[in-house]
Amino acid sequence: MSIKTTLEAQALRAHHGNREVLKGIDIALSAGSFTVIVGPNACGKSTLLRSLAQLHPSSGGSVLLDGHPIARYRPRDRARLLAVLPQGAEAPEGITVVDLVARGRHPHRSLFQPWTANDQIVMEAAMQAAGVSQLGRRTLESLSGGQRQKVWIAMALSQGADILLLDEPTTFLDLAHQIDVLELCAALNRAGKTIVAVLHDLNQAARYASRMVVMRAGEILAQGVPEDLLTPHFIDEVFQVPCIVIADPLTGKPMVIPKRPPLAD
Amino acid sequence: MKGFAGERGTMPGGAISRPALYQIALGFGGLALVLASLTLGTVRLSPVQALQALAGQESPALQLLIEWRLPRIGAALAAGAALGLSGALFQTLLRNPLGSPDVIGFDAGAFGGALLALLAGLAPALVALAAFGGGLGAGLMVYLAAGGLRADRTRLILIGIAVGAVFTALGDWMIFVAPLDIALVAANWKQGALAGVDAQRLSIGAAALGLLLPLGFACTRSVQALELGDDKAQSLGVPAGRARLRLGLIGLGLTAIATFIAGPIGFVALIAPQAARKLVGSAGLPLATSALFGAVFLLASDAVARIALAPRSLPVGAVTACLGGAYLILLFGSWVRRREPVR
Repeated sequence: MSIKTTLEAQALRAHHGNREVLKGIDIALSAGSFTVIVGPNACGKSTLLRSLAQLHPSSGGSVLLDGHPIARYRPRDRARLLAVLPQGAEAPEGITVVDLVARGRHPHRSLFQPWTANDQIVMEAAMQAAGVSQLGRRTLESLSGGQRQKVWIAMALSQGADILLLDEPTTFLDLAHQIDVLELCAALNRAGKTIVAVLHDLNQAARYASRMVVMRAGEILAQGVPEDLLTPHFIDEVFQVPCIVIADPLTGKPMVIPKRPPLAD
Repeated sequence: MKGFAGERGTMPGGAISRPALYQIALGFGGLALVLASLTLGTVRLSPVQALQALAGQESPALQLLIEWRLPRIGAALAAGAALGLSGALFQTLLRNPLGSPDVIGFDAGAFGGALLALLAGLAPALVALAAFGGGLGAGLMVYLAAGGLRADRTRLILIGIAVGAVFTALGDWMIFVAPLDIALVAANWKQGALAGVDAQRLSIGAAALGLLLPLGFACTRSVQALELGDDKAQSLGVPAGRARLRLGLIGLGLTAIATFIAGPIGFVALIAPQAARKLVGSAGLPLATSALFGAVFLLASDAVARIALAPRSLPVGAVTACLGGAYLILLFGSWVRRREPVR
């Protein structure tokens, strides 16, 4: 197994127009971790992910990839270490699954370098790992939302990067497909990938994350293992939702159960 | 899954891929058309006569005839290839089959620039540069009025149509006020006529094309990344902003070359990339096949223009407009059938 890549941010700041959406974020994503970023809407969690991936310009602070400022990397060198699944990726009409996954090899190829046996091996392994080997000849449009998401993950895998950043990979999927995608992420994490994902569902986050990062209003409120973070008091503070927290009967991980507001008589 | 059909033309195992097959077929079709074009006209030749004249083994009169017909054929091929490729680049850039340089006014801009230089009595090389400048001006106007490339694409295209109308009107006005001799040349040029092309204009255009075609084909990789959206391109290591700028400048250069050689010919840049895509069955727009299809399409249109109302010859722009209009109706029809919004 290769030497693992680390990713960290120091005093990272970012703006949307004039509004400051990241107010000095410090975060270290250790190699081999499964980090889930949660927080209320518009807390800056997607912007944090995008800034880590250099999809959003930072306005202060730094992002370090393997200890070096990420901006100093040549884009294709960065792409070999860090793959991103952004929201709203599009694909040309009629593209087949193999064609799309093969495009993940982009940073390893050049204009005059034909498709190599190694490219083929890595691509097939990526499709195998994502469980989409059987779909190779299908077009992307003909797949279900969950299958499509797995194909995009296969494409990110074929980039051959150690770190995988996923921006709300389960949004718009039904429950079965959400679980499918999260189980895939967990399997990839066990196989050695460093995973960072933005999720909405606290219980899913607690179940799958080795480390949770809770954000509010552009700042990190707390980070750590789910068992330490998810207390009724803290959840009420962050999301303004009174709740109880019990141990998930299947996994023992914290499970958040929101209370109902008292009925007005 | 028996191996990935690479966009570069060969599959693992040595078999020739579908795109390569169609490119070869298009190439042969183009050659046959070149030969046919040499024989067509008021004086009809047999293919054998044409070939012999090309080899220098015919009577001086026939030699002369061939020397007249060759530049016109060369101009059709060069302008067609430039239009086909620039269409594919812009349609990818704007992610819309209507985002073609002839629809969004870039060829009108290029023609305006060229006309201005022609009126000023500048040398042909400078006229070519002015065509590029005019196209760039139209491009900048669309870009600024739409508020950048991230603007709504439909809006960008509508603004482009308006900008094109402005430049077309400017061109008409310039022809109107020009001295008669220049006005005649310009009016003929504006029709998209290949007949009037002279050897000097063609050689300047061909030289510029020789430079820009390889640059355009070299965009294949960025095109394939940009098709997945800016974020995804960026995460694959393609700096999206810079890649888009490069695509746009090369596309404008190609539009300017085609306009300089043959005038503002519509619909080739619009149709060629989509037809090429349907032909090779690829997902994105295939750059090389688009250029090839554009060249063959314009040459075929010119052949039609020459024989449809013989002995009178139509401007080739009229033929491409007829074919292009039919194509547009089909395109809109398919959108309506699939109940898709006109993106």
